[in-house]
Amino acid sequence: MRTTTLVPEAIVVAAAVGLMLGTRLLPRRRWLWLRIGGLAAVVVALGLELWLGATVGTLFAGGWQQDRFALFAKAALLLGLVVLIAGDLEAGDQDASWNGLPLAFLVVFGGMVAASATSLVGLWAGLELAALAAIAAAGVASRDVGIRLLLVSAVAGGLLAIGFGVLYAMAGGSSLTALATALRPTSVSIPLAFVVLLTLTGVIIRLGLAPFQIATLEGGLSVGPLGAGALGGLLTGVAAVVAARLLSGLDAVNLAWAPWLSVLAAFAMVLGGLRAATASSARAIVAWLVVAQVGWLAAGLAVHDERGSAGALLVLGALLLAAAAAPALAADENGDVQLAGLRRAQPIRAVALTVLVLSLAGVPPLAGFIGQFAVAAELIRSSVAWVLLAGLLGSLLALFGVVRVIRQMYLEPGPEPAARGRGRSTISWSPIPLAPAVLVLLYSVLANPISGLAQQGAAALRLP
Amino acid sequence: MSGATLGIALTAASAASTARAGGFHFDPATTLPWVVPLILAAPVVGYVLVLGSVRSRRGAATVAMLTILVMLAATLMTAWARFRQTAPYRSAYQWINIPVAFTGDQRFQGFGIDLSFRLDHAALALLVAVLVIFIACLLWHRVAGRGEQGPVRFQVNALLLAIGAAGVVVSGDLAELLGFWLLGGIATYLLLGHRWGTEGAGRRSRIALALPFLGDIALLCGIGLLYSRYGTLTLDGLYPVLHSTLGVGLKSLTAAAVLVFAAVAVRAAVWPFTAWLTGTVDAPAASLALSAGVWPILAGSLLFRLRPLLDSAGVQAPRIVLYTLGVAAVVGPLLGLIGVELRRSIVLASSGAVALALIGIVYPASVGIGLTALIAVAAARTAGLLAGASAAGTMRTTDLRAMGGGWERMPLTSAALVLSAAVLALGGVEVAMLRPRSPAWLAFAAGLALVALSALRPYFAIAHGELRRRRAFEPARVREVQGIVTGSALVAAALGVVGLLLAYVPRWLDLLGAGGQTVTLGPSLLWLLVPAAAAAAAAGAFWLRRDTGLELCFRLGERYGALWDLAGAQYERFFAKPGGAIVGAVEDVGVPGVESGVGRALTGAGGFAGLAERSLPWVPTVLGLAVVLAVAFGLIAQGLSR
Amino acid sequence: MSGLTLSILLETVATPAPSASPTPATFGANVIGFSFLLSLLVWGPAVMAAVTAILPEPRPGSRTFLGVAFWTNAGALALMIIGYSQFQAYTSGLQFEENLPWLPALGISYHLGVDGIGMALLLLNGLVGIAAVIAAWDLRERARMFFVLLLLTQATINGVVVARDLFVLFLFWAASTVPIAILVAGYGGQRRTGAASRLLAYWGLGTAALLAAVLLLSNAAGAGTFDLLTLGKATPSSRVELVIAALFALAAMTRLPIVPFHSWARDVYAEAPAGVVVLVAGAASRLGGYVLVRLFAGIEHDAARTLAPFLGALAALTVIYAVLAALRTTDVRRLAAYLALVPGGVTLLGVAGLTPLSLDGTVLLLFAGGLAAALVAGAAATLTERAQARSMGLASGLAGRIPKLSWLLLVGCLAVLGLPLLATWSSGLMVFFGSFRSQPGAAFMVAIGLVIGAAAAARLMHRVVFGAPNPDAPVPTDASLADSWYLGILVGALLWVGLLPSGPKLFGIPVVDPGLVNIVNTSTADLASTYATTPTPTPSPSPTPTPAPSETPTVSPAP
Repeated sequence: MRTTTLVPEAIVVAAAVGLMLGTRLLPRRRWLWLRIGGLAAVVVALGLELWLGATVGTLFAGGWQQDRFALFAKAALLLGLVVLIAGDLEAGDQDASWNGLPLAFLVVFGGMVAASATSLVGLWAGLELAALAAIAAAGVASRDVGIRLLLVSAVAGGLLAIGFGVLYAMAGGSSLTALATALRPTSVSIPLAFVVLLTLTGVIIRLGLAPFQIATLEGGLSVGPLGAGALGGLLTGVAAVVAARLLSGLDAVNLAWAPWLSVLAAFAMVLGGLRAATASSARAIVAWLVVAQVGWLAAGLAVHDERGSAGALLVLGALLLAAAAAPALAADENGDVQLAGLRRAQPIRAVALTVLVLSLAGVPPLAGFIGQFAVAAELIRSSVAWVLLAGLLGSLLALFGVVRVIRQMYLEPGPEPAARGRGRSTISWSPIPLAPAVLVLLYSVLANPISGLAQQGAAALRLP
Repeated sequence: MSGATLGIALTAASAASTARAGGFHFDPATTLPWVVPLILAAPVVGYVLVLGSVRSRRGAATVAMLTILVMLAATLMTAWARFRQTAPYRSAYQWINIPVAFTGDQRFQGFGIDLSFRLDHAALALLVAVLVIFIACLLWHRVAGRGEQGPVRFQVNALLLAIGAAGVVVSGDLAELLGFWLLGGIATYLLLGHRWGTEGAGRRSRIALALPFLGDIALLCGIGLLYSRYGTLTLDGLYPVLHSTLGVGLKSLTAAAVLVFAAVAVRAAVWPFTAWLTGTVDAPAASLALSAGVWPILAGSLLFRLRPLLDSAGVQAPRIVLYTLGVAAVVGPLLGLIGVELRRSIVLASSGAVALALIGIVYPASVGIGLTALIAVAAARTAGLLAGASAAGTMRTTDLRAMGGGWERMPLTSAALVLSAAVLALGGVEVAMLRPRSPAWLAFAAGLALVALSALRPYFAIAHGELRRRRAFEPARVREVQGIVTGSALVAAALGVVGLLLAYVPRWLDLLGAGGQTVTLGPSLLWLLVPAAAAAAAAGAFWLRRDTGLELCFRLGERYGALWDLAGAQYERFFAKPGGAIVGAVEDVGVPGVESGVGRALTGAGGFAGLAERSLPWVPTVLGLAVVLAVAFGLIAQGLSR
Repeated sequence: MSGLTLSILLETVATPAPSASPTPATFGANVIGFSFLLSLLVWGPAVMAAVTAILPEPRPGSRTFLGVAFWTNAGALALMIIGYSQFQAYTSGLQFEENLPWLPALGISYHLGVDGIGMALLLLNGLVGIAAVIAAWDLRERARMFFVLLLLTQATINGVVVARDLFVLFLFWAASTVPIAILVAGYGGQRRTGAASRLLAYWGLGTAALLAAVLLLSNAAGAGTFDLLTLGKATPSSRVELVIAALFALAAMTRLPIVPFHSWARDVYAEAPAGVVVLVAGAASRLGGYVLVRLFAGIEHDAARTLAPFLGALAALTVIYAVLAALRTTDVRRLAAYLALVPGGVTLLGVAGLTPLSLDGTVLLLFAGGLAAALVAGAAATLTERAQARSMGLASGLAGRIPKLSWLLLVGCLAVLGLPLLATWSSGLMVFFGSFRSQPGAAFMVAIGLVIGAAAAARLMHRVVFGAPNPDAPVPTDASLADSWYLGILVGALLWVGLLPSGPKLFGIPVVDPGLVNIVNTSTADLASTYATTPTPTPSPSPTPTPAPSETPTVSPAP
């Protein structure tokens, strides 16, 4: 395998550096071109990933591997970055002093590293890089939130470091293969379960799976749309990638973690739906819908077999597309977007937001629904119907929130255009928000090849 | 005498059916393929015409009358053609005919409903009677119904009833019969209840739709039960298998027979099902007379068609039917003596006569006579109601105490009244003459006496009472109504008289082909003394104690009304209110309570979660949760692994 | 001459016997040979919804959006009628079938097709759809969104009916919830929010139950597919089968709706605008009955037999409860809403009957009951709007002042009660006759319920139509042309199928309409063959279907 496979990663890093320098050197009025350039770079990286990444192989003496899972995960993360930039373009410059876009690139780079990692070290490095970048992206907007996020992140990082250390000691090596070989179902014991669960908690905190969503979600709600997208969208995706890889290594001792993950998933699905139904602001509803869908993703992983993971990957793709862009569409310069009358003021944004929340709530036939259906089928097949019941309850509750949002946008009269105008044209026809909506629709239309790729990706995890 | 004349007439008619007059040869049988369908097609066309294009009252009345005349002509032509044939004329058009299963019991593999005609002599006779009653009511309404709202409404609804009535009498398929039966029910409801502008009209509409619908649904259940056992809906398919099908017990047959009889009793308006007529007496007179006259014949036709069911249902079903009708024959006219409302008295008195005629249809020995008596009684009931309405209209009251002077001022109307009363009083006598040797004759005696008494009471009050001066009413102005109005009542009364006399003509009973014996003159004629004695008693009581008697009836009527009010209050208290309260509790409290409870619980949980998120410190919460969950599930995992 | 005319007239109403041999539909056959007819019926409205959403804002007062929705529905109805007339009756197989692999990784295929049952429901959707659009004739405010949602709802309803893959069926079933909820929440009366919430909650519950049942069934089949034909052959353990059947029944009962899952219908029928009421009562809620027939009775035979008595009891409870509730309300729209629940109860009785005849009647009643429920609820909605009053105290004695609407309301009540001349009669008759064999108690109780229903309907007539007018009430206006048309379409369809269930025939040849009964019965007979009764030991002398007697008298003519 040739090192050209690393070109997409290189492009992402280069773009991040370029953006960083650009925001330092260029005047603010030129930053739009920086964003567009960044977008172009990501699109190129995505194209190259889909082309070069199709070759399966390893580099650096097996320390880095490109398989179908890596391909799927990287493509999903890059797509997430595309919609994040689109959202950022739509939301406009939220950060007075400094633009956090380069950090979003670093989050994705971390995810790409983790996706190709074959060892605990690679996973740890990728996840930590992504987490720190995401927290920084969020922190640039509000420093005290950044600090609190940093503290929680430190807890998660600590749990991961200790856990990985113990696992390394047990496996006698850092590679996931060694871990999988060393661990046997019979080796499940209270200390091992305790360690495994604490390690996974570290990942779960990054994933924002309830009840550990507090940092990701509350942090995401109190920062700008880009930070929220990076934190609640991209970082969640990276953490899911790490979780999938790590759990494949820990599959032998799934008795230790599968029930725990199932319970957390069920809790997340119900809580997400419940809060989405009762939340008041658009951004809060979006954030809680993301929590619920993360629950579906975790439920798929908790099935701990190939088909379950395939379902989880399908959810991951849909989640990244919606979660990275929705915060930007649900916010404007005044904070929460004024939903009432949005159809008149910003029709395209209204349509895009509708598509995204419907997908997050798992309403047919959108991307989220297909992933959730795949997971649901596996839950029944694996005789964990109670998790499915929780998921269905959560989805049912989420519908109330979604209907409320759509009703507000389309059926309630908003304030007079002059009041919202602020000198700009009273009606915004900006087509940028269409990008995530179109991608979500494409995801649904192309569900067949995507689900095939997800299956191959799950197969690459070498689960039973 | 009149019987002999009629015999000669019938012989002439039979001769005419095969006449070879000169070169002209006309075989009426060749017309049957289109004449028989015309019996049903004519009212449909007339109905559509009146409903769709006719706007004037006179035009509607003309079209309706022409339609009925065409139906009558078609019926008479059929009767002529079928004069010599004892077997019924059958003709069928498939309406639904589908295979519903490819396996299983052959009887239930298919389902079909035919638009079928099954015309025997009895059906033709009943149909003629129904059409004559229609003619009488339409004639009466043409002149006397001018003042009603909605110029064409009566004719439209009457033609709808004509479709239903003709269908019930001619149909040979039980589902078809049920359909026409229900159609007649709708028409009756619209005739009796569809009169806006007064509160009473609305109340009438409730009684006129809800109570008879009970009987209609009983008929549906009865036919459904029969189909579920025998898998056929045609009368000709049903008769042969009633006795022969294994697996069908007497219980099913009894249940089916009782259900069918319930429909008969309700629609014939025999006691205790008279309310839908007595409660709607202030509906337009022609509507009331039409409904009260036509439905007994339709009910009798149904009872006659399903007599084989009664025969095969063992002893229980006939016993239930006879006891019910026996009680109805006594209680109905007895209640007719109470109160002074003219139309109510006539309806209740005639309900006893109808019950006696129906008993005649149930007894195998007197089927033919029962059918004939039923025709007579139904026609007499119509005549009485029409004549009574004429008198009430002229005397501007329906209170028997305030009516009178009929013979001097309205002789023809009074004649119609007395004829009607006589026919009602004598209608049951022939049936009684053929009674079986059983104590049932007591009921006959009481029934006959009470019917005579209560049927003659209105006549005496109207014809021979004293018409007093009232406020804004001058008795001297009371005079006979127009000839066409009186004539219509007399036409109906004449049909009643003919029917009464026909029952004594053996040739007629043979021709009718309904079975049963003929009346043998002799000691049986002593039965005539019962109504005669009752009539004498009525006359005596009237001339000796007229005012006191009517006043007593009035008081009794008031008491009876109060009794009903009390019963109504008790029903309201013990059934309606608790029922409503239960439904209300479930609908207004229970279901919303559960729904809002769930909603509140979820909202509360969501709010609590939100509060926790806002108030809990991030780091300790995350750490605490991580450790607690890890320990808990570590222990579970350990347990699972063992 | 007149004889010939009369014969022709009669033969157009009914074909002269004997002609028991089935006559395939000929009208319109091979006029068009769509291989994508069903996709067009499903996605056409969806695409037109998108078009409506992006149309430029028309000048105020114009009916551009209504026009788009109307012509879309008119086109769909025309296609349905052509499909209906091309439909080969007396064959139980799928027609207009489309089968493409969609998500093979999940065992999902884009499989569409209709048999007689689906064809009847499709036609119902077409009729109700266009009536719903016309019912919204006077809508001016937020018309774009209204018609977008209306068209989306119609697309999903058609999708459920034509889907032959349970994933596709579930997809459309679930997708129909959101647009209807928004329609109710956005355009209803004062209590619209509660109505929309109830609709969401109950339909969501049903959707969850359906999903669980579909997944359990697919898992039990073990074939890794959701195709109905394959899953129909699955033989899960009796316990699992019972659970699946119960879940199917629950899903259906939340939609039909059946007491105690009826509160959404009461509120939606009483609060939503006429167009939405017509669509929900006429088409969307009938999907519950469709699931009962197609999935509950059509797949889970043994479990259906076990659960039939409970369903019978629920049917009786629904009818009796609904009419008792109707007796005590004084709100005209609520009363009509309760009456509109009655056809659902009778439908459930037909399924509980589980005989070929009762199931055949059930499918016909899905069509007729949908029209009846839409008619009574829609007429009440329009009447109260025109009378500017909902309470019986104010809206009273209207027959003289707004006769058209009064008569239409009366016809709606009669249709709900299943009286002759209307389609509900023949279908109800089949349900009752079929059910009396297996569920006599339930059938009898439902019949009692109908009697009380007659009292409730009479009370409505008594107060609102035939009673004394209230001098203090606002001056009512009679039905507009649009009102007459949309209610007339429902009445016309009820009358057409009621008078000509086998279609008009001339000299035994079908004319224009092959006959809904003929279209439906073969598929139902195929589906219900499992429930056919075992032959009795002694053959009965009465052959059925009805012996076809000769048109001429069977006795010798007069000499």
